[in-house]
Amino acid sequence: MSSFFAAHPFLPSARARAERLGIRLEDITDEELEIASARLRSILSGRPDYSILDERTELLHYVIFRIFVSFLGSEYYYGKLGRFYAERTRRNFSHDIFTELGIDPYAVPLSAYMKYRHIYPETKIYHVELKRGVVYLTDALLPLFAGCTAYTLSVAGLPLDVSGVPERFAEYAKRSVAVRRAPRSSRGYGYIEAVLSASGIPDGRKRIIFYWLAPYLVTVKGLSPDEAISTINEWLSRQGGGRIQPSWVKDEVLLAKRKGIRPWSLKKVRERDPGLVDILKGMGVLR
Amino acid sequence: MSEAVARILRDAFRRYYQSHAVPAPPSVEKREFGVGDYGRKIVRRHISFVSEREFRRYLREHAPLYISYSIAYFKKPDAQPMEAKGIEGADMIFEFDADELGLFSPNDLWHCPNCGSRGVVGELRGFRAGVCPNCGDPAKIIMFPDPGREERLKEEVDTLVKDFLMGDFGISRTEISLNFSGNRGYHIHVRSPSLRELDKEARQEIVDYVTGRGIDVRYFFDVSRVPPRGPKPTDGGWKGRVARKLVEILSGAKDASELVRFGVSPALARRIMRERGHVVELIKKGVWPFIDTKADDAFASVSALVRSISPYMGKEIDTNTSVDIHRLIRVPDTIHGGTGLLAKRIRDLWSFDPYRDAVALPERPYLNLHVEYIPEFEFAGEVWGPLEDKNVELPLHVSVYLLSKGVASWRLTTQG
Repeated sequence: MSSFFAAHPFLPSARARAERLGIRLEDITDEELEIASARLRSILSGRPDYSILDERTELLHYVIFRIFVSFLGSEYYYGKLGRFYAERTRRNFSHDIFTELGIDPYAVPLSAYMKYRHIYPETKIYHVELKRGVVYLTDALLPLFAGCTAYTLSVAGLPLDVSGVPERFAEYAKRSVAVRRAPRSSRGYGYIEAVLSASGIPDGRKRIIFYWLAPYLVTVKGLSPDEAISTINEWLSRQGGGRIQPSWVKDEVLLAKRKGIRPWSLKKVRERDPGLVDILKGMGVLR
Repeated sequence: MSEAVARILRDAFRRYYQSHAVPAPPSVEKREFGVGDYGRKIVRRHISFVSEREFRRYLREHAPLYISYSIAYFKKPDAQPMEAKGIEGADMIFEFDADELGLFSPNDLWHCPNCGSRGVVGELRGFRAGVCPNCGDPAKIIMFPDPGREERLKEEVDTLVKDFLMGDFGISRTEISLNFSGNRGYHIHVRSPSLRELDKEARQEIVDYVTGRGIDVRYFFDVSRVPPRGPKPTDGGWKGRVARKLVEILSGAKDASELVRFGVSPALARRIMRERGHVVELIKKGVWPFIDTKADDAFASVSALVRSISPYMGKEIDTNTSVDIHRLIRVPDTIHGGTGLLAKRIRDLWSFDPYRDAVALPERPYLNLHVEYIPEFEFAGEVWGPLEDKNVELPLHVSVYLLSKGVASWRLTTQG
């Protein structure tokens, strides 16, 4: 039987427990790092083992995982880690997690409910019962909401400042990414290529960068932020309209890089911003 | 508008700000401000004021044509870059624009930047919003004051405030501030601590809630039971809203066609109508007997019901204002530099007439304009138009309004 903190090492109160157990970075052996790295590899590769190990190992691995993903430096990995803890919490759900967090899960104030990322569609605010600022959850939804709290807490504060962490952690972090993801295929993004090669777009340039160009260049084509920014600036120089702040372009590119954001599909833009599609169609950029 | 008109405007703005004490936004010392000039809404930002007094002095001395403030609260609002400001939270803003909601009036003009065609919306049969009937390109709609449109806009605003913000989100009326945008719509400022600390993703979810985007009605049903269990009118949120809407439709429907409109098959619609009293009773208990859970499109008609409820669904609404915590928005009770209308704070929505109550500019000086075409409309308590291809001398307030619409051009100024 695993302990409470073994199941929920991401809880704020678990840190005190780890301190009581005397878990310190400098005591962590290479062997422990190797094991943690292999375990993280299974999580990141989408084949996680949801079983709960002993308390010391779980608390230790939680700390190591956070350091590793911080070294890896991408929200893609943070999300994978968060989803691992979310799913494990959902599967091993018990009410204790809400007691620990001071939440009455059957009647959650809206502000408290919205603090957690709703990673399951069932827990989205528009799918649950909401009256006068209080969210009423059913028994069926409690494990899912518990998973959302686990996700949010486990990724909170990432990336950590790893400047003082021994260099060997970085080596093991890299080993956690067993198979380097091949750059994503740019097939199926012909509409973005068409926009990229277009000139004289009078309106919607910021939206185009936000929906498509920044995510496409860094996430799909794998360009470095500097390369992506210069490509976008070159594209902007071919369009009409007023000046766009370079810092805004930089922010969008870095955001896409940090979060691993993928470009919006044409269908999504058609649904959410039909005006932009009309403009591009009117210019013959899109069919 | 020419620079000469801009100069006249600046003088008129200065006189207005010298004679009116504009209230500063709450927590003025934590807000970043941006000001704009002729043709550009933001020319300079990262401005801050330590007090309301200083804010008013700035308005009196500089009389900017546009002044906006951050919806966010900052530790150091004038610091640069943005990260150095130290964000402490942000209000939530909902924008309602008549053109985004497709609220066109027969009086409005349309004009196509591509082929140059233009005309009056009411003269076209089946005018499809925003599309030129000649070439199919996006058309520009030029709106004129229309009481019918105002009523519809107010209904949308009222629904958002009462049903969603107060009813669902439990926000107190005192935490909601409503103002005219100064152009074609309304801004709703929500200054509730319960929403203040939400991040971008959570704000997007709130916006999705209001717009009904992303709703998958399958999550409202328990299909493991026979007949399926679904939402009851007494349920909260969208579940209850869907059930109440269905009960309302069933109770008021004259014939089966009103259900067919939502994608219900004619045969099933007739059956439901025959037994509608019983069906309504069942729905009140959360039992939905007519959902065929084996059919591919089992929930299509319920989805159609959701679409009919949300006035914003499928509309091209700029939700960035609600989601972007770094946004600057016009300061309530200041003048919109394009239209000359006040972004007036509203006490009573239903008695508010923007084209009477938000007119900030004086009559004088009169401007000599060449008017291409204007329909008949009411502005500042008087009726103007119709006019076509005429040179006229008009008071400053209505002149600025027409210039902002691009339907008139300035010829020369006369003082009088």
